[in-house]
Amino acid sequence: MALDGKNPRVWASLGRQYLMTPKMFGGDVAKSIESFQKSLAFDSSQDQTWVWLAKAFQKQGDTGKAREAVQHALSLNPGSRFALATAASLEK
Amino acid sequence: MGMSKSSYPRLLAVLYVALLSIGLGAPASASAADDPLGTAVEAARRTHDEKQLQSLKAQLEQMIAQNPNDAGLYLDLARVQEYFLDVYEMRKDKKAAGEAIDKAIDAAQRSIQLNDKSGDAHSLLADLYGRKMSLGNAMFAARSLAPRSKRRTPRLWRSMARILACGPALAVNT
Repeated sequence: MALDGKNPRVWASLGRQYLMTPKMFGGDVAKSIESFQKSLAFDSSQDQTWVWLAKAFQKQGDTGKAREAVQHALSLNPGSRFALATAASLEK
Repeated sequence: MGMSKSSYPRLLAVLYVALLSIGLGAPASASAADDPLGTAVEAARRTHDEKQLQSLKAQLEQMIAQNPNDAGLYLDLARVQEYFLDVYEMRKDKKAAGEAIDKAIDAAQRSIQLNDKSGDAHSLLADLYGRKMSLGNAMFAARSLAPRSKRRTPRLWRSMARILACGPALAVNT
């Protein structure tokens, strides 16, 4: 069994788990951002991972970076309902 | 000199394969052969169009009936079920979302039973458990993860912590 730390889907999944898990059980927004960025470094065409990165920045309180990330997602997939809903939530 | 009738199907098959590899603008690759509906699954993810998803689901179920030991087909089916889940969540249809997530988990588990070295399948299953908890079905998810525990939810979170700790190690080439 060959280990491969270059699977972008796994890094994105890890990022979602860091983001969604309560802090007392290991959740960590900074680590989730690192994981999403690592995932995107391996494959920057994943529009949904850009949206998750935006959500992580939003949770961290960095609305500017969150907007940038969600705009990147929309440039990749303009019809993405997930990206559009996240963009809308950033404007509230 | 004409071509015999029996050679027509073979010629058509060769032409079909040649047109597919040229016409789609993508080189024929081993991964495309391993995952014949991969492009269609990705297209359905981008649109989340329900009719497209229904058609894809039917095709996958038909292919699974013919190839019941193909881990990749179950993984694709799990992804399609997850996209249904997205649609139902956006529609705020909790009942349909609950059913979709259970079907997605079943398909992802079946994929892992057939190929337990797939990082994609393990990470998808972890995501699905996370989503099941956020749907408010934590008790059911906890039961499947920690059947002997009386205090199921804390143990479920410990399982999630283990997934976090082992995440990168699950990433293996498939």
